[in-house]
Amino acid sequence: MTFDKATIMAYVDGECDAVTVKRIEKAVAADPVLAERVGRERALRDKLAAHYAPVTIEEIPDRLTAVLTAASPSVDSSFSARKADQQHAKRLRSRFGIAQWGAMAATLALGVVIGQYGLGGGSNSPFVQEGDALVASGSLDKALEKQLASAKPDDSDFRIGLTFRAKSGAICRSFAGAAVSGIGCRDGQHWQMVSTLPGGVQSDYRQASSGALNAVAAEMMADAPMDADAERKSLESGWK
Amino acid sequence: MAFEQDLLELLPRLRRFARSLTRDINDADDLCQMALERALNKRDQWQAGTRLDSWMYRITRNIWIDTVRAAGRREHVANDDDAMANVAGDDHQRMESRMELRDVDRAMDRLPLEQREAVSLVLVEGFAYKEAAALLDIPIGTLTSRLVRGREALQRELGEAA
Repeated sequence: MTFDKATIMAYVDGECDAVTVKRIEKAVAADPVLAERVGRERALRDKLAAHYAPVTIEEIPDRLTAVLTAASPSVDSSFSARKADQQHAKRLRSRFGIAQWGAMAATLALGVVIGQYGLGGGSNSPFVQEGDALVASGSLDKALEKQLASAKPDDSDFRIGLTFRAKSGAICRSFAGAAVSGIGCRDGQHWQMVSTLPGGVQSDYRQASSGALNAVAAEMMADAPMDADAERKSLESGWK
Repeated sequence: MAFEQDLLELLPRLRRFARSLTRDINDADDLCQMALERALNKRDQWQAGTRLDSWMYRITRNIWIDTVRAAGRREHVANDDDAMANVAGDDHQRMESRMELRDVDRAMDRLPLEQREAVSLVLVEGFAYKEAAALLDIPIGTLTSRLVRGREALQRELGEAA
């Protein structure tokens, strides 16, 4: 069986129908010359993809993000507001494509969540304001302080996700609850909120917020997230 | 903001596409900037529900073609000899890695425009033939014949290294 160049290329590009794929696979197994031709096409495809892939994790230049931020509707178009927009965009720049917008969503949602709970620190609020910071209180504080990712007590409102040391040196933990999810970092005796998202009741939303939080966490991490052992030791040593 | 957000998400891929078309990082970002500006100006023409990435790739590609033609630039980049002279002073290892990087860039750059864009869309950007053909407004048969010729040229240039 012979195959023309276009067919072999189409095979490598995943464009052949199932029957042709079978026929080529069978022929490749029996014919070293054909196997080599297929290998060469595949190697070329891989080489090109590998050559250009690093572009997608480069930092995006300010001038490109500026085109988009300048276009966003804004009542205040003063220089300082534009500057703030640019700085905001700069903060959001990311080497992780999708992660970028996860991070943004998480940052923006902080205001939404605070609005939802208010800052009075009512008995049900998982947050309370301490100076300029929003810190965990009540059940959230308890979860961040005492809970391990592997074990969620029945009476806890929160599930713990990742525990990691941030570039700042602080221990941080991500959490997810029915009403709110986020990341808190240990600061003295408190867990200061770095990022929060509405928890949402729909599973797909939870999924999305978890992805967004993980993206934020990934950007914050000094190193890999802790495994269960390290997490337990960190708890025992008071999250130092 | 949703439209701008979607464009921002697409930017890493668009930059890659632009880089494979132009080779030069600054030319590539100029191209992306023009494409973003045009997209914002023509946002009314984008039909919600259709693929924004294809629409953006098309805009980017069209600007690139217009720019290259308007500049009357030759398709082949002039000075490989100069580039060779520049790396001559480097130590051997660095030279090798630079040469390898240059190999792909140079080989792509030597492709005629219509082959380069076909190769870029399918092999680098991973578009299906049908999508790439639609994006370029050409029949699939035309696309595949450009792919065949483009790949043969690349294999010749990159030889066993590929």
